[in-house]
Amino acid sequence: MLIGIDLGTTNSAVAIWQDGEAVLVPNALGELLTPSAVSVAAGGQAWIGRSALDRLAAHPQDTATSFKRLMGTAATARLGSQLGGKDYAAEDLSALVLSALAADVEALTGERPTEAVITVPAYFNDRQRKATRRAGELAGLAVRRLINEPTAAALAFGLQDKGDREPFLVFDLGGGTFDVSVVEMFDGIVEVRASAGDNRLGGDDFDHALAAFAKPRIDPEARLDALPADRREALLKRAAESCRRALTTAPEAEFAVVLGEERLTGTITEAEFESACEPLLRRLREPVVRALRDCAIDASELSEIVLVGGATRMPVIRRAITRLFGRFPNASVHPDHAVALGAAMQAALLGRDAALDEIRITDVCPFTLGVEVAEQDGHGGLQRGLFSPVIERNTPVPVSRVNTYSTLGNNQKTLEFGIYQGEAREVRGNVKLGHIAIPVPPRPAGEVSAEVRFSYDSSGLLEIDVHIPVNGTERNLVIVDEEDRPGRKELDERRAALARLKFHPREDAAHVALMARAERCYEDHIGDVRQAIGHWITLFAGALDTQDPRSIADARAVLAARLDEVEGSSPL
Amino acid sequence: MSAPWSILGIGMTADTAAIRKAYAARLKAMDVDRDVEGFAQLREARDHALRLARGMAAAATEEAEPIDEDAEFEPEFGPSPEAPARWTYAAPELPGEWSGAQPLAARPGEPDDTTMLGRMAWAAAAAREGVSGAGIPLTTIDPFTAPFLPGNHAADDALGLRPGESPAERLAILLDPESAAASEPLSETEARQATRALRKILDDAAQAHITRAQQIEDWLAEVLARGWPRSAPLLEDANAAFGWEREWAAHDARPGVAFLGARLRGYRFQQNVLQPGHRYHKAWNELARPGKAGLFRMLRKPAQGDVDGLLRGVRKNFPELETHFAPDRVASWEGGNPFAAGLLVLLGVIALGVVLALADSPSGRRSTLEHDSWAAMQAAVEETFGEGHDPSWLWDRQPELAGLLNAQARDLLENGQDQSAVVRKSVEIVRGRSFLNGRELPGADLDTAMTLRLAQLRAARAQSDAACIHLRNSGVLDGITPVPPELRGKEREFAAHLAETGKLGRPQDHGERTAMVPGELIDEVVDTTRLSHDKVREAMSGKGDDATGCAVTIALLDRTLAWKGANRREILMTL
Repeated sequence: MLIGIDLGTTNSAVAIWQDGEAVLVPNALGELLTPSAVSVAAGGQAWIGRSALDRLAAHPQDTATSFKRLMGTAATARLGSQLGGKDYAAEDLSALVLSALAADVEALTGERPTEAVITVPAYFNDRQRKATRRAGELAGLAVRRLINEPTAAALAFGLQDKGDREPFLVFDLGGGTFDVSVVEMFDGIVEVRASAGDNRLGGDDFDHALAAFAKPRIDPEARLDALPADRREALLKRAAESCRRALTTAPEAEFAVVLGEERLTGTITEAEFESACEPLLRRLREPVVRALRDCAIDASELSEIVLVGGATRMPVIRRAITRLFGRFPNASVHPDHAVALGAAMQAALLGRDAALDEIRITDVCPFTLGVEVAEQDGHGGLQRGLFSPVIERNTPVPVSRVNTYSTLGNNQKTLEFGIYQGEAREVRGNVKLGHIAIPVPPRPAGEVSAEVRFSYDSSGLLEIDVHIPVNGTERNLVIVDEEDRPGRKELDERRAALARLKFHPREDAAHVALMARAERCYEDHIGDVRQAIGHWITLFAGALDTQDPRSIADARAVLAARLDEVEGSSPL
Repeated sequence: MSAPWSILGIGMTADTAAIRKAYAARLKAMDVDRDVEGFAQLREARDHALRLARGMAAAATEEAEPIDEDAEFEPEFGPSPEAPARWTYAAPELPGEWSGAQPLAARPGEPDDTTMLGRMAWAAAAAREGVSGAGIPLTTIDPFTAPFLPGNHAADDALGLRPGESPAERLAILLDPESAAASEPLSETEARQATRALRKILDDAAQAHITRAQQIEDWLAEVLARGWPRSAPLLEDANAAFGWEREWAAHDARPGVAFLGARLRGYRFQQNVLQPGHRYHKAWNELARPGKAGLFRMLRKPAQGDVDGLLRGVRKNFPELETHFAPDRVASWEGGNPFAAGLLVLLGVIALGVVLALADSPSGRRSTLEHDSWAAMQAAVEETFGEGHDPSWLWDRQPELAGLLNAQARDLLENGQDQSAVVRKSVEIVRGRSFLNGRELPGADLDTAMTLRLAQLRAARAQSDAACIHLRNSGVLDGITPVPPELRGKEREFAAHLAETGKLGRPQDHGERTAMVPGELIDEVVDTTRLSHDKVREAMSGKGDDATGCAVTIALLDRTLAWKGANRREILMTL
């Protein structure tokens, strides 16, 4: 079975194509969104999703969130308590989330999915895409296609009525990344005209900005600085999140952190929040301008501004967008669901589903790909490290282009090509994807030429061929399969390591999540309320020990009601 | 039927819907992943057909000549960079209070040779400015038709606004390249007015929606580019507001923005290099002084390396800054080694003569200083390399080292140190280089370098264990340790030998090195030092106290020199 997955920074979701439409699949708690959070305790016991997120309060050192931002980097998180713990790369943690989503599909349909379409931010670079693909493989899913998130959202938006649409703009601000795509629909063709983005801008950054602004106010004596960094960050992040959420409905909100037996609080107004985010809001403009410029469409010609991504719920963002375009955006698609639904539609397209027979989608490569070259400058010197584009950004994919380069030195023995992705004129400002070296016959400078062909397919797989016409030498480099791709054996080992983690049985999910939530509430409160929550936890643990389903169910209902009451009256 | 229509499978048409329909039908019939080339062709044909269709539609409505389908590919060139930039007052109708800025030469409706100038003209200008730095991009944007709603602007003294004048208009007037003051920098008042006007315009852009903000951005880029170099102090603010900085580095930066980016970077460099602390400050001053460089340029402030570096950097990055240099002076510095053969002999005599001649002139002190440093260099080279060697000998063999020693001498003297300090520093530098470079050489040179280091370590140890460890770790003697005359003699001999063979260049950094030390050698070290095995091993891995560390280092060096085992060289190279 082929499923569509939105692997998000904050939340993930999975959808399947059923009876001619895309449907979201609920998780074990009955929720359509699964927080992208993983928690691993010392013994290898693991939590994924809501319960893992709730454990962040009490066990920050065991819990990882927002790991999508580290995708494609060597950074790892050590989970399972500092000492006996293991290091997890972003793709390992993502694989755990992906397999939890696959399990949800299995629970609903009785069939274990084997293939997936996974969404990535349009502006994810080649390394980040590779890492996402590996995460799918680690989770036992063959990744049939990586599809850009705004493209998926555009599918979900555009296929609502399958009618023609003048160019519209998808404004996708997620937890960690920002994408803009200009899309057009006519005669069943969904055509992405241009994409641009910032893969380091998202809702998380607004939380950080808010926390940085509020911290001196609630903690003038810098007492939080005495805490370990991960614990302090976790406290501030959660406080910022709930304060930001409260600000979506009220002109001011409390920013509160519980430190030991004390609550540090302060009031933040909407205007203060807006001014704290000012530098971030300004960064929204550039990708919009670039995408519009690249497809030569004026902002006034756009038929709609479609909002996608949880962060677009923030009133400050909506105001900024309204100011940016001089009109109100369209909020008709569900900002958290559209991407997963679009992924399921892409899956159906790949499966040649009859309902989508007359639909085609074409996307673009959102960044420029090219090679490193050197050039003679006007004063006889050699300028090295220049970037020579082969595939320009926003070229429709799949695409295959050839450029010809020649030798610079007399009797040069090899031609070396660094392969880069990016927009900088000098390669050091771009991302290096690979390297190819090819021996050439010794000839005077400029007499040996090489034809370099770049082929970029619909999934973002880049392949490079170099051909030397003088003697017919050929070299081929499939970027994805070359350098950083770990061997089959290593992947198997890592998959086995992940499989050794212990998970709670699916039927226990509800009370595991409730217990995690109770622990979080305990951390969030002080004094009598905290003592009471501690007592309730003991009672619930006692009920669990009986292993009697009925008394567990009763105790769960009681505890849930009590926590609802506490949280309902809590300012947090 | 030409190519796009045959690929699309339709006849020539101005109906864009029909073109898209044909494209959609073809696309649905193909598997783009299997037929990449076919997809590219289809897409190209569609885009081409749409362009032609729009051209036909435009031609039909305007009743003008049909647009040549290849017109957009023909480059158009603006005026040559030498010709003065021309203002084109192309947009005539300005409402109400803007009437003060009535266009001077409006020719509405008439095809103007500037109307087709767009990107291509900028591109042509940008291509030229790479060489001359003087090309000013020309577009159809009229500086006096700023994309601002003409609000009711009251007279504003702070901005220097007359009634009805907008900040944009004020800015355009201040930066008008046709004005009488265009070649002068902005006066203080003008700069203040311009900055305030710019601020108002930027505030407006920040609040505006994206289309208008872009119009403002394009307009401002144009006005600033035309107003260059008068606009230089305004560039930073405009850059910060529009994020031009990120665009400059892009391979496809808009030519106008790229032009401003290059100017601003040059301007920043110039501001920095005029600060005395800047690395190339002296080189800049030297090159900016009119006239040829004299015989004493070697003795003047900048080292040849700095001048070369400055010239290279300026030519690569800010070609327009070269106009600040005196061509004669650049030419004489580019001549290479200043000690041209026949002049060498006379150098000392002339130096003295000139010093006397200039003694009363305002620059007399400077010349005296040059003389001091020359004498100090003489003494330093003699002490470092032995009698019979002088600076010009060193310059011929190791110009980089000569430059370094000269710069050192200059700095020390300028900071009130005397000649002996110059000599000490020079000996120290060469001692360090002799060791570091000698260690990389094969055979006898390696042995000599290590034997000398052994003697130096012993001399230092005689002073204190701390001095010995200091020498081992930093490669420099502590300055108190007396060096026996016999050792100094050998050092001089070795240094002169290395300089003669050109081996005293800048030492390479080889990073951390490791070598296996065989047990027999360790046994010998243990025997020599009478320390326990454990202590010796501890010291060899960098632990233990100074006395032990020093003793073990000396013993190991001594024993290795006498030893003939396999990795003798590797061990020596780690010491």
